Amino acid sequence: MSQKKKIIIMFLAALLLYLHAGCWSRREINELAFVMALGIDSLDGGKLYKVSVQTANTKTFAKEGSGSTEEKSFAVYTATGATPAEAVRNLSQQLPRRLLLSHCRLVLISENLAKSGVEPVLDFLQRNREVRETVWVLVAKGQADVLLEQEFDMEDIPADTLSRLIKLGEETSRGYAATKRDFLYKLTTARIDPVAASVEVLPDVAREGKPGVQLGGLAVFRADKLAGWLDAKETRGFLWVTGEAAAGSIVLDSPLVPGKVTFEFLRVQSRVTPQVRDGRVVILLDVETQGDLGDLAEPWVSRGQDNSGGGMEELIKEVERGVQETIEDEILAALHRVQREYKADIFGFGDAIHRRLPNEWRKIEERWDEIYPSLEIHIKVSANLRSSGQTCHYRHR
Amino acid sequence: MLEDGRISGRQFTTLIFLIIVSITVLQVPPLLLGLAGQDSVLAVLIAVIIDGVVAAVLYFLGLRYPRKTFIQYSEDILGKIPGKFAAVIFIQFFLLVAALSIRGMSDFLVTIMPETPLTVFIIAFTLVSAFVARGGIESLARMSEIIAPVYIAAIVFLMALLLPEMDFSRVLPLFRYGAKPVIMASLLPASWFGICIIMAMFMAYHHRPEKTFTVKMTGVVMGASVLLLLLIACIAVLGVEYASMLSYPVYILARQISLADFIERVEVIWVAVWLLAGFITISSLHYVSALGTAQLFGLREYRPLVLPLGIMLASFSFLIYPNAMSGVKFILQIFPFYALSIEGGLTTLLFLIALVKLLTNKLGKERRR
Amino acid sequence: MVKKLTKLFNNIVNAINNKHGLTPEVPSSVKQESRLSRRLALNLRQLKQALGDSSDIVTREFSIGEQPPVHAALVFVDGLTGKPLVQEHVMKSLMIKAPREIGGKKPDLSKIRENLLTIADVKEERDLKKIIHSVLSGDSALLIDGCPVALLTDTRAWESRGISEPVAEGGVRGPRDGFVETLRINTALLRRHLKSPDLRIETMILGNTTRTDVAIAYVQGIVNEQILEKVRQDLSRIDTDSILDSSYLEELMRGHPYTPFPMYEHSERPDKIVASLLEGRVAILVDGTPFVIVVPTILFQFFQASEDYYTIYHVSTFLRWLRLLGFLLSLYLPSLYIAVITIHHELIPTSLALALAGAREGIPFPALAEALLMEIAFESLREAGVRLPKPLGQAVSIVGALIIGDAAVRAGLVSPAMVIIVAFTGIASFTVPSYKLIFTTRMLRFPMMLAAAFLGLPGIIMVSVVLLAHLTTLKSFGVPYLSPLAPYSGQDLKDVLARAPWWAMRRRPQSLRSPDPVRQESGLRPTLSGKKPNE
Repeated sequence: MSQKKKIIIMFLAALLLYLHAGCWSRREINELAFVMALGIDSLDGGKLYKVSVQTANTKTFAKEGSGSTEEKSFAVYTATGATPAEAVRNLSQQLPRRLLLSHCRLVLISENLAKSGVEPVLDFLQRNREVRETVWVLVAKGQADVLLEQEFDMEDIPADTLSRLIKLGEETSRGYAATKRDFLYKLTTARIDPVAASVEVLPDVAREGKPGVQLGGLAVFRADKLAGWLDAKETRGFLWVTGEAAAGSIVLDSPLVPGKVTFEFLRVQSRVTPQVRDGRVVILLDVETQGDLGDLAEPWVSRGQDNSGGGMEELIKEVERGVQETIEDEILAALHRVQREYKADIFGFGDAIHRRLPNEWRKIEERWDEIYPSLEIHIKVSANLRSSGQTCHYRHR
Repeated sequence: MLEDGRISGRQFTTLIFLIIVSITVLQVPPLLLGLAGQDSVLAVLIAVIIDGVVAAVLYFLGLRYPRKTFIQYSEDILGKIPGKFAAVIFIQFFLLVAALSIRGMSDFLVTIMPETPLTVFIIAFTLVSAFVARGGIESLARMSEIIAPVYIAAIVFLMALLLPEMDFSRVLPLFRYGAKPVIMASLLPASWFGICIIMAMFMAYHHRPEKTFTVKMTGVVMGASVLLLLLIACIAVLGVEYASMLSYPVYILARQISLADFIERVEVIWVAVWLLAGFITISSLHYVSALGTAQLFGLREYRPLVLPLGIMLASFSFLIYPNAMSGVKFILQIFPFYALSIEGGLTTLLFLIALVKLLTNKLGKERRR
Repeated sequence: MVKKLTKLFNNIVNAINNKHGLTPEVPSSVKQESRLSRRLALNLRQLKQALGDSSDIVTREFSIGEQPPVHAALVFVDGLTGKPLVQEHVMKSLMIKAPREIGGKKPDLSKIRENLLTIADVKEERDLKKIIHSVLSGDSALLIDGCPVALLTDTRAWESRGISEPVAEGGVRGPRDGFVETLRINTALLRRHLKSPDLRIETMILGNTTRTDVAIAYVQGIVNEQILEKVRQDLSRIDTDSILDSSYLEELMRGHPYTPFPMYEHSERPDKIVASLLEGRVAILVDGTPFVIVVPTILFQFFQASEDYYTIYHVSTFLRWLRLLGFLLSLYLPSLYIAVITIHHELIPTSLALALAGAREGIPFPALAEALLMEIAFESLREAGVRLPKPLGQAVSIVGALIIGDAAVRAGLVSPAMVIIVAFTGIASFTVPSYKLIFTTRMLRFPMMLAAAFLGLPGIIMVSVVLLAHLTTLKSFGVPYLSPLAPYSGQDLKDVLARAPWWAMRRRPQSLRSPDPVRQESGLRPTLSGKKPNE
């Protein structure tokens, strides 16, 4: 045997030693518990963490399997620990399968925990290699594990339904949900405070005795602590400021006849421009929106058509003015609540100053917490009525 | 002849490009973002200029001593004993960087596959790199010629998918802290770009050595552009503070892609091309160390040295630092100065002495006339 | 101490240097030749001795002329020689038509050769060995008493397969002739397609026992002389007892003896070989086999089908991509599946992951074992089907499809997803036109799957890097195996990643370094007006 062969054989033998250890990271896919949602509560005034997971019952997902369709499609397990990581580890005492967090859709943080600070939780979420950055971070009004137990009628796994609700909410400008990335970006950047969507159980909505779950307004954080909530109007105010509003409707009193008009906005742009005026930094806020007429409450069918165009300019002007007022009103409501009451900079005004006026920012950086509540904000809203929808009818006498 | 292969300009460029975009894009972004924030972009540009100067020096030396690697010409310049000493320094530098790269790659993979022991990755990587190194320079060059377009295509693809996630206003403000921190920060990418002194080894086998400077700088500029692109994407998608907090922001960046609920979970593409580039890097360094050692001792064949050096590499990778956290410290506080003193210092010394020799020669000739 | 160390060091250095030094070559011994004598009886005895008592060797003794009659003998192999030919043009001429005065003490050989033997090809030969070889190749040897020379008449006419459509390389459009087992017919086919005076065919005999005719065909002026010289050298180096197929040569010629990749392309189609010759390649034809090999070979040749050049080039381009994809899939798909399903669970879309997990519920084997099981079953099925008689082969595929496709899934032994993966891998592998390359990928799949099971994606990448490093070191007669890709040649890629239209393929492949690289002048692209585009 040549020396070369000997060396090769020795190397192969050494490799075999490693094969003894088996396939290290190997986990068969059917030996995993797919965590679809993660809930974290605090117990004992913040000394203990209670982690609950909503896992998918994979048996029910086989198209031609032996599992009966009568089985529940998910299960919830709960464990406690001194840290979130330990609590997750402790789950293995009840769960016969290894947890897989890569497919988790949302993380629910209970209100109590949020009030005492979410940094430990988010640190855990960031260190964990499995939790993806696209999971929604939500605040549960009440207890997180109770929320996870709620069953929906329509969908298989509640987490799926909830995440679809969130997406729909964003598309219709009713809410804004932060992903893990958004939340951590805002948390790590000192000049912005994070927000998160909230979820609550509605005990009084009775669907055959089952309580429902619904999305609430925004949870406002100051640094990593929950400062308070925004209602629906304020939430949309927040969306106007940040330009996150996607599409939605504004209902106005019809300007010329008794009844209502719906303005369906489709495109929203907002611009935050910091400026120095008289030695003080002020914020100029420009919001632009475009939309169509959704409905115009008037019994035009019975009266016959009139395309003469009389009163058109007037109508457009009135609707636009009404929309502008509504938006301004909503923005003011949000600003008032957030700026004055919660003193949280969820709009990122500080960051805008930092970007555009870095020299100014260096001067006021230290005192920002004092300056912010009294920061002057000039709002300018412009609305543009683009079309009347699939009808050219707009008459009103 | 130790190595009778020849490489083309295109292959030279792709080799240099892959060496830059493999280990550098893994290790540099979080640290650089931490040091220079939004000005990282400028720091990279400065690093390219620094590297250009080093490249010019090595280009001059390579033309002055044609068809010789700098293991060989450092002996011509400095004399036998000091020359061999300089050669040893270069060889251990390549070995160290190779070990650092193997360790860096293994550390990263362990974060993805935590149950797999670090040892397994280190040994497997070393074996693969030894196999590639035995193929010689032509094989390496051809591999890089195939891998580089794939890498570029993957990066372009990922960047295009990331566009909807980007918020370019986060790139501002520039020059917030003035020039000094930027220049200090630029030492970090410069020390990693400096691995390209490997060009002095490859130049001897370039089939048109007079073009080496151009093709090398093309590679560096391409590599730096990828790094810039990734840095900007990191800032625009993750923000400076968040990105600099992460161990491997580029990997996290690739995880952000989510297009229409259909194209998501594609970070594997980045991991794949990056690993391919990483293998080119460690194999190049491995090969160069073996070749340099063979030249140092006047062997006729470098291949028998590849495996013993591989064993050294593997053990070096274990011992270089105890855990990933101290690795960060090493890369941030020790490596730039160590690397730059060789990449910049030693090469400049060689250059100056060679220049003096050249001038005295010329003067001597003129006098004789 | 220091001295000892330096001595030790020097020893090591010397050892390394010596190991890679050259060892002198042993010169081959020169063989002795035996010649014919003047006496017929002696010659016949010698022949008999050499050829033995085989029943198919015919020795027909007769006499020529009458003043006095000369004894002669005709030796030939029954079955290789056309009997009517021998009877009509040799025997009849000599026995009946020959003038009476031709006999005598010194027969006039040139007269016999020039006036009597009405056979196209007659050679004089003195060397017994060569005579025997000729006879065994189908010639008839005419031995005449008093002459130390035999007349070898070309009376070769054995039963051979007619020219038919190649079975292994079918096509819808394009020439339908295929090579046969007879070298002469094959060279004739080449000439039929390529009537250039520059087509050269050199013949040699290889195989000490089989004495097989081997021909090198090339186009003078297009082929690179260095490549041609290498082919000649390699062929003349071969010293073995038998060459039964051109594949023997593939393993005995230059190159990389340990590589699993096919280093020689072969074809049964004359049009394909002629196209290769015109690119500057060298064809090697072997008597007794319809498979002609072409060198130098690059990997991407295995993705080109000759029909590509007979269909619309857009379609051909698309098909080439499809084949490349099929090749990659057949190499990677099972291992990627294993890696994703056992290690990188985060890479599967959630709904798919849940479905896969549900489908795997209750499967007793780990994914690797499942995959190996299925792959082995699939490979066995394929192997069983190839060599069985056709009716039986169908039965095998039906049984296999039923058992593996359905029963195994129903019994819960394998998951349906794995069946789909393995089946799709099989289909993907059939898209590559060359089954030689497919053999390689079939084999390489297994280490790939093992690597995937142990190290996941990094494992797959590592095996790929090793494969790539191996591929980049391969050379076929001086031409890099991955040629237009690495070293890169944009111009050659036109015929690799695409199939450029004929008017765009102006040059022969660069990698072959042809002395006449231009195939055609530019400006061949047809225009609407019929004028040249730059006029």
